[in-house]
Amino acid sequence: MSFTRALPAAVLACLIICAGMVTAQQAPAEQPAADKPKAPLVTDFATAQALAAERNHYILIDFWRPG
Amino acid sequence: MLTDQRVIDYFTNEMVLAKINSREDTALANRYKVSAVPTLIMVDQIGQEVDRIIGYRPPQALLQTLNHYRQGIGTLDDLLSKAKGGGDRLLAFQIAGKYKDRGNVGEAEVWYDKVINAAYPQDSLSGEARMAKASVLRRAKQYDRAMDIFTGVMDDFPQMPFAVTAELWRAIIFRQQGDTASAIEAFEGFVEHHPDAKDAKYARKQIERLKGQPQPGGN
Repeated sequence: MSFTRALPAAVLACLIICAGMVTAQQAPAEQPAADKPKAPLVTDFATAQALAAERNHYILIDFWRPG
Repeated sequence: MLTDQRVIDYFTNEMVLAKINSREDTALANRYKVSAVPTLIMVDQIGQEVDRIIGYRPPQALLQTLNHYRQGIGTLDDLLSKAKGGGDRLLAFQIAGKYKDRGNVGEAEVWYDKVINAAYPQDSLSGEARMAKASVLRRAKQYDRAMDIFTGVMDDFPQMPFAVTAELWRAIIFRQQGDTASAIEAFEGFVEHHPDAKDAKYARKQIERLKGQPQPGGN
């Protein structure tokens, strides 16, 4: 392979490596909250009751309001 | 809270968590007399209430309280059974608070009265109980009775911080009753008496808002 034909490939490879490094530097130190694992929950009481009966558990109803 | 590992483990292995939008499932919110959010209510499989927690608690404190409730410690039933053995005013105050949180006006009143009537009416626990009782009555829209108690607290406890709160509640009750002129006067009195209180800003805003409203009989 001649030098003039190899140069674009080398530049491209360099760009890919540099982009990877920049992305890695910009990655947040912590996982975003939306991606973090969350406690399992249901959003209707009938399902909660069915699950509680199956597992013999109590239910914690967390009443919230949007806004 | 939901991303805390202890909370994840707890609601995976120990208890079912149901997050209910109180604006959408109004029937369930009404059934449990939910008047504020967040309200956490622990119930058994048939929906019988064990106890509730109102307001935010950090994960560790929350899980500790839930574990106590599962063991029957600190619940309303637990406190009532202790009160059968005699009990004291502080226990009566705690029981009244439980009924207050459940929206049970009648029982809350009975237990606050036990606190108030069992001692000199001007001791500080009586004052706290009178404030709490007035708050229950106000929420139940028994405005005149609540107003009388707040006024009495202001007279009997002029040096206590809750007398300042009582004065503000009087103004709020006037506003809730639709008596704009008295509400403005009461909010102005509050600002004049307590210009540096943390609620003075709120009171000034109320005055501004009420003065901007059309007055009855005005054009």
